[in-house]
Amino acid sequence: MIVDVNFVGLIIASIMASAVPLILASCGELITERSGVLNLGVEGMMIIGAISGFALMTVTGSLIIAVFGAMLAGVLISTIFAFLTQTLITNHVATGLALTIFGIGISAMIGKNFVGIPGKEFPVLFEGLKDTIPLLSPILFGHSIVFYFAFALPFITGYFLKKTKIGLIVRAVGDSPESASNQGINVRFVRYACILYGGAMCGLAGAYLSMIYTPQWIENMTGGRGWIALALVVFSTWNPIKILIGAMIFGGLTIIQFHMQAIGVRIPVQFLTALPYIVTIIVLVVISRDSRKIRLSTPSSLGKSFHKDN
Amino acid sequence: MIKIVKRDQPSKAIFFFTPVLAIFLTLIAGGIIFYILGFKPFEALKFFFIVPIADKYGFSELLLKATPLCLIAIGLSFCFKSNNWNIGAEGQLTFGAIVSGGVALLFYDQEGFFILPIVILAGAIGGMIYASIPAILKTYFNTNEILVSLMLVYVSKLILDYLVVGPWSNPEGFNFPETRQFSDSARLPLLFEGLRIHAGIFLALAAVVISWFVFYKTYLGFQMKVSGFSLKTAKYAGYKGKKMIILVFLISGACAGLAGVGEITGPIGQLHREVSPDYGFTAIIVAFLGRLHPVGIIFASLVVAITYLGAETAQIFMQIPKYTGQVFQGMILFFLLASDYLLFFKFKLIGSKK
Amino acid sequence: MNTNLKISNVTKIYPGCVANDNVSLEFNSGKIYALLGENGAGKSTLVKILSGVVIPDEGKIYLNKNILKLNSPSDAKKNDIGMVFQHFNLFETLSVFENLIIDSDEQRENLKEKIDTIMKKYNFSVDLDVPVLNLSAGQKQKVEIIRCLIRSPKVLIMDEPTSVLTEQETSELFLSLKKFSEEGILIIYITHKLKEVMQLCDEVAVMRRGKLVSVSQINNENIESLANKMVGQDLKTIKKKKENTSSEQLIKITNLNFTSEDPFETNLVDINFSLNRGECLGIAGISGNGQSELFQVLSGEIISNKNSIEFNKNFIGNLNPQERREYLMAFSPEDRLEQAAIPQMAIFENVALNNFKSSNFFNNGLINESKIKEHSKKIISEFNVNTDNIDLKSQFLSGGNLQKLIIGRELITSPDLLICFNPTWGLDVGAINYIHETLIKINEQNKSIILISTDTDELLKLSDKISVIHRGKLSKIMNAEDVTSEKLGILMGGGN
Repeated sequence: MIVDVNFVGLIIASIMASAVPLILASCGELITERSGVLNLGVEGMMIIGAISGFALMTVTGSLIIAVFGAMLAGVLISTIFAFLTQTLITNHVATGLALTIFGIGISAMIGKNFVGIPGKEFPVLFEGLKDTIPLLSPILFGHSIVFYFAFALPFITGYFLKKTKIGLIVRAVGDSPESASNQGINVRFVRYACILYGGAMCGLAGAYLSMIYTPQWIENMTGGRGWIALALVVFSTWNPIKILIGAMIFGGLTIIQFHMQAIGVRIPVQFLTALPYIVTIIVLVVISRDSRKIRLSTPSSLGKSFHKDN
Repeated sequence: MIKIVKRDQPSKAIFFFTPVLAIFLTLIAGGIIFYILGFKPFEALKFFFIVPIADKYGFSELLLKATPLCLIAIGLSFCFKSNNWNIGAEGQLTFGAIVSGGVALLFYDQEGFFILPIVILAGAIGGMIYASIPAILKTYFNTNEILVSLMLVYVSKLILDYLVVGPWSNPEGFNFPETRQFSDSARLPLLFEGLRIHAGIFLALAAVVISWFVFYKTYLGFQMKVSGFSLKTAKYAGYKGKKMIILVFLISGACAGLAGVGEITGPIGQLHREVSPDYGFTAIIVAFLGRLHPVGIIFASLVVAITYLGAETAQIFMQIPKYTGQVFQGMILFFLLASDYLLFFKFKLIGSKK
Repeated sequence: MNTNLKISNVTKIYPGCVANDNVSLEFNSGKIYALLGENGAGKSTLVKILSGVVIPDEGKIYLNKNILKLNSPSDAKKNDIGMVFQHFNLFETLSVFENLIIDSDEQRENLKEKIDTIMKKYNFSVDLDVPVLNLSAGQKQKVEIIRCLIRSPKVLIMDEPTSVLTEQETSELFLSLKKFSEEGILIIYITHKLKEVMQLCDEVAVMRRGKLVSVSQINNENIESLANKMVGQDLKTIKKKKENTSSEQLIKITNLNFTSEDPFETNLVDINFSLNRGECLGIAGISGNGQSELFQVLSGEIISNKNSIEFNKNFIGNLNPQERREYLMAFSPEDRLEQAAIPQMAIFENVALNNFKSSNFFNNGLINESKIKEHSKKIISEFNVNTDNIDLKSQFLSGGNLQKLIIGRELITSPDLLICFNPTWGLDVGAINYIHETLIKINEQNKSIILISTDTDELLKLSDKISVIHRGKLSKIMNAEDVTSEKLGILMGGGN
C-alpha cells in the first residue's frame, strides 16, 4: 500500500486543528484552577465566545473585532462567575453549572438570527510555503493565527507558571490562600484575574470553532468540548505541556471518525462519536488511580472558597 | 455608612426566603433582557409566566413538565445532601428510558396488567445501572464523579440515537428515527380525558413522601446529613462511606430512570431521539431552588416548569426564542446562589462617626 | 539605631468576644519582650494587628513616634515588621526558594546571595530546591525566619514558635533570637510557656481575657508569680494518685503498619505496644509525626490487618469505629469542630454520632429522637456541659463545653478504653482541669486511656507509661516516673 506522505500530513494537520479549541480552553481553565478556583462553566463560556465571535464578524465584518470581542464576551460572562464565587462566596460547582446552562441559553437566544448565515474566510499564514516540504508543510503552514497561538500557549503557560513572579503568585494562591493572604497577596484579586483570563481563553476557543474550524453558527456547537477540556486539565495533572498531548489524542479521536467512515469501516457512527467521551472516562480512571500523584499535583485549595475575616 | 457584618448564625427565615427573592430578581432581570431584545417587558413576562397556565390544559402541561423535574430533583437531593455531585441525571434518565422502552417493545403486540410494572421497574433499574458507573468509579478508582456522570450523558444520547435509527427503529416507520408504538398495557394511564397529565405524577409524589421520610426520620438520612457536613465526621462515626455513595447514586439514578419512563410511556408512547428537553440538567436547579427539601422541591419544580411552558408560549405568540427558558433557569440559580450571601452576612447601618 | 514600637489603646471586638480591650504597650529594641497569656487571652489577635492581618476597631500604633497605618500584611512588611506565625505561612508544594522569592522584590541571583549570607551567618542549613512539604517543622520555621531576615526587619514577632520544635531546636532558636536582639532587632515573643519567658526574655507583658494585666521586668518575676497573673487565680495542681494498676492486658498492638497514599500524611512503621487495664499510655511527639494517623488506625477510621490489634482478647484490626465501639472502645479526636462534632447540628444530634448498639438511638433504621434526647440530657448533667438546651446548635458551645460534651458522649457508655488526641488543645484553664480530672477518674475506675498529645506537661501529669512518636515510629515504652521533659525532648527530635 502506498501512503501519500502529504495525505498523512493533512490528517495530522486536521487532528491539530480539532485540538485547538481544547488546548485553548484547557490552558485557560488550568490557570483558573491553579489559583484554586474550579470553574465548571467552560462549556458555557465557549459557546458564548462562539456566538459572540460569529455575530460580531457578521455585523461588523471585522475579524479582529470579532476575535477580541469573543474574548471580551468570555471575560464578561466569567465576571459573573468571579463575582459570585469570590465576592459572594458561592459554591464553585453549582455556580459553574449555572454558568453553563445560562451560557447555552443566551447563546441560542442571540444566535437565533445568525443560523444559516455563511461564515467568512479566515486568513491563513504562510500559505505560500504549503508545498515546500513533504509531510511537514501541511502541518506547519497555512493555518490561522489562532492555530499557531494555541500550539504556543501550553509552552507560554508552562513558562508563566514556572518562571515568572506572577505565575508563582498564582500557584501560591492555589496552594494556600490563607498563607498568601497573610503575606499580603490580594487573593481575591488574583483569583478574579485568573477566572477572567480563563474566560478569555474559552471565549477564544469558542470563536475558533464558529469562525475558523466550522465557519458558521450552529446551536450548541461546542458539543461537550468544554467538558472534555475540563477533563483534560485533570488528565494533564495541571501540567500545560501534557494538555497538548491530551488534546491531540482527543483531536485524533474526532478526526478518526471521518476517516473510518470514508474507508468504509462498518462501525455505527454513534459509537465513533461517543468514543471521545468514553475515552475521557477511561483516561480519567487510569489517571485517578494514582491518588498520590493526583494529590500532589492538584492545587490544594481547588474548589474551596476563601473568605478573609477582618 | 453601610457595613457588611457576618451573622452569628445562618438565618433560618432567610434560608426559605432567598428562593423567593431569587425568583423575584430573575423576573426583574428577565424583564430587562426582554426590554433589550425589543419586547415590552410586562407583556413578555405575562406571556412567559401567566398565559401558559391560565387554563386547565395549561395547568395539566405544567404538572406534566414538573413531574420529571420533581422526580429527578428528589433523587439528586440524596446525592447533593451527602456531598456527591451527580450531574449526569440526564444520562440516567435517557438510559432508564432506553431500558424501559426496550422492555416495552418486547411486549409491543401484547396486552396484560403485568406489563406496565415491568416496564416501570426496568426504567428504574436502567437509571440505577447508569448511575452506578460514576458511583463505582468514584468509590473504587477515585475518579471525579462530575466529569464521569457528565460524559455518560453524551454517551447515553448516542446509544439512544443508535437504537432508534438502527435496530429498534419501527419497521413500518418509513425510516423515521423512532420505535414502534408501545402497547396500551405498557403506557402510564392519562388522568383526564383530553389532558396529557398522566399517572407518572404519582411516582413523583411518592418520591416526595419517601424522601421526606428518609431524610428526616431514618438512620440513612441522618448519615447523609452528617456526611454532607463533614466526611471526616462520617468516617469517625464509622459510617460506611463507600456503601452510602453507591446507595445515593442508585437512588438518584432510579428516580431519573423513572422520569425517563414517564417521558416515553406517557403521552408519547414510543422511544424517539429526544426523550428529554434537558430535564436532567434543569432538575439540578430545581433541587437547589427547593433547598434539597422535598416540599421545597415540589414548589421549585412548578416554578421551573413554567420556564419550559413560558418559553414555548412566548415563542408562539411573541417570537421570543425558546431558549429564553434556559436563560431564566440559569439566572434563577445565579440569583439563588447570590442571595445565599444573606444567609451568612447582613447589611448594617452604622454611624459615620465611629 | 533604636527602634521604638508603641501600641496605644487598641481594641478589637469579634461577635461575642472582646479580643483586645484597650491595650497599650511600648517596646524598645535591644530587648526581648514576652507577650504571655493563655489560649484565647488575645495575644494572637494583638500580633495579627501588628502584622496587618487584622485591622483593629480602635487604637493606634506608632513606630519611632510615627503613626503606622497597617491595613494589610504588606503595610507591615513595608514598615520593617516581620512576623513568624504559629501556623506557618508557607506554600507546601512550592520549593523553598520559590517561597522566598515570592515575597521579595530582589532579582533571583541577588536573593540567592542574600539567603546564602543569612544562612552562613546564623548557621542555618535548608535545601532551597526541595518542596516545603518535605521539610521538618524546625526547618520550615527557619524558612519563615529567613524570609523575615531578607527584609532586614526592625521588629520581629514570633507567635508561639516552639510549639512545633524539639528541645534542641528550641535552644538553637533562642540563640538565634538573642543574636538578632543584639543586632538591634526588636523581638516580641508570644507564648503561654512560662519557662521560656524566664529563659529568654527581658520584659514580660501578661494578657488575660483581652486585657493587659501587667508589664514587668523579668528579674522581678518567677514562674509562680507569672502563672498567677496569667490565670488570674491560684492554680489548683492536680496530681494523679499512683496506685497499683492491674496486670490484666487490655489492648495489644502487634506489627501495625500504615502506608498512606496521601503524600501529606505520615506512614506508620511497625507499631507495637500493649496496655493494661487502669493504665494511661501517653504518646508524645511533635505534631505531624504520625499522631493523626495513629489515632485513625486505633479508632478504625483507617482499617488495618485484623490481627494487628487485639482488644479484650478479640482481634479487631479490621473493624470500623462503630464496630469497635461495640467492644467498648471510645474515641475523642483532635479536631473538635470538623471531626468530633458538627457545629451546624444540634447538641442531641451530635450525641447520636456515637451510635452503639445498646443505645437504641436508631431502631430498624429509624431515628429514635426521644431516646437520643434523653441520653443527651444525661450527658449534659453528668459532664457539666453549661447549657440546658439540647436543641442548641453545637457551634454556640464554648470550646470547653463542646469538649466536655464530646468526652461525655464517649464516656457515658463506660468504655474500657478511651483514645483521645489533644483533648485540651485550645481550652481555658478551667476546662483543662475538668478534662484532666475526668481522665484521672476513669483511670481510677480501672478503665484505660491512650492519650496522644503534643503537650508534654499534660502527658507527664496524666500518664503511667509514655512513648514518643517520631516520623511514624514509636519509641520504647517508658514508665512515666522515669521520664523527664528533657528526655522526651530528645526523643521527640529523633534522638536516643
